[in-house]
Amino acid sequence: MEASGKENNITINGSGSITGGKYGDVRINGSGEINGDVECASLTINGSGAVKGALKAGQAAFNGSGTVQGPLQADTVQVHGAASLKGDVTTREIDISGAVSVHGNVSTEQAKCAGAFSVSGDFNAEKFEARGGFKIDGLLNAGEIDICLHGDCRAREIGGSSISVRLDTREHWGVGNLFRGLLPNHHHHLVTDSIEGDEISLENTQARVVRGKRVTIGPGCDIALVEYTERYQQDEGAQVTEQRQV
Amino acid sequence: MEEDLISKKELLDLTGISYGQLYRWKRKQLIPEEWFIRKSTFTGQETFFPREKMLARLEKIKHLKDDVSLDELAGLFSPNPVDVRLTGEELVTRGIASAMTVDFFRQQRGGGDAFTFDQLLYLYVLEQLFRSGEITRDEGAMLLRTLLEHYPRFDGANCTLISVRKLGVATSCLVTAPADIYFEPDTRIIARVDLGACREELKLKLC
Repeated sequence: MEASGKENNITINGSGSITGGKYGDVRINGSGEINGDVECASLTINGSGAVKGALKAGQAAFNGSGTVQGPLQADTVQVHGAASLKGDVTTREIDISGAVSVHGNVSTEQAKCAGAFSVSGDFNAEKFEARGGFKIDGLLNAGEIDICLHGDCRAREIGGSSISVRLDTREHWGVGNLFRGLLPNHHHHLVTDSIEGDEISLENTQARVVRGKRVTIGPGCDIALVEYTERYQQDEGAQVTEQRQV
Repeated sequence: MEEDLISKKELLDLTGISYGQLYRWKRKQLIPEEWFIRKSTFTGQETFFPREKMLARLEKIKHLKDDVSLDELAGLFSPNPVDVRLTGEELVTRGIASAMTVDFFRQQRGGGDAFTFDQLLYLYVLEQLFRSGEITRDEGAMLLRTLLEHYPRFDGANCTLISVRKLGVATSCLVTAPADIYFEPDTRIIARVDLGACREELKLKLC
């Protein structure tokens, strides 16, 4: 372990552990542990790191694999590797391109998810953008929800102002998406119990009930009941058992 | 006693708010999590709310949201005290309590010039009760002792102050709200104060 000394910045190269407390920039390049609650300007984990307590940071970046045992509060959270977060996550911005599991609730203003994640509680965001698979055991609640289906997407319930779920057909023409092409379209789907919002537009979605002001049910959907107040559109390739204006 | 519930659909019909607004207010914690009650119906799981409380809360949000930001509103509804210290004069001008109640409080408590949020709350409650003419000064002193001694124990949880009188002897208690409480027949309830509601009213006066 090597402490770089300036302004309480600390870097763990190789393997080592530090005690909790207040720090500047903390970097774990090999394998490291922080014992106790930590408050720092930034935490970067490049190898494997574990925080055995609560984490409060300006920026938290998980590039290798990281674990946080307690609640995580940060201005921004970035996960490019894998992160296992055992408490609630509260942040302004979260960017996921690896794999994340959260054993609690997530609250953020902006969420961008391209990897895979699971949340055992609710996911709250002002803006929620997903390009990967996810599993939310509670409610996905966001002002603006934009889900570009990729693999298996699940949430117990979804609520918000504008909700858009679509298959990104453009990606089929792209070069960078070989994996996508290997799976038939119906493998990219969203499964949920209910969706409630003002503007709703869906593709490849299975739900028991969809309620909204203006609702568009696109191809590949299987919905038991749609309730709308203003406008309703349904694609030929959608299955809707019952729809009614309320 | 089962609380009267309202379904989400009926609530939106009645108040004219949209799903987008409801979910936004939930995210901003303007509506407590425990008011979202999931129940099985013949069509599946649906969400219900305590009717009276929810309608009153939405009315307040609609009424205030143009003047106050949602974050400020969240602070208003949260049980956390506001970090504030007011002098006796300031709280009289803000209409929290009259000079007479402030003097009364000082006689009972002694103490300094500035009042903390919890003390303001006690003053506000006393003022309401004195004004209503329901309690005597002695009973006021007893109520104040109850508040000073026990209110901090609730640690922000909603509670109700109840004062009763039987054959000319009064006593008071604090109970967790909502609670059903029954007394013997000769007992008269002289005051029943929802401290959660008082806290909100007081915060509004401090805005």
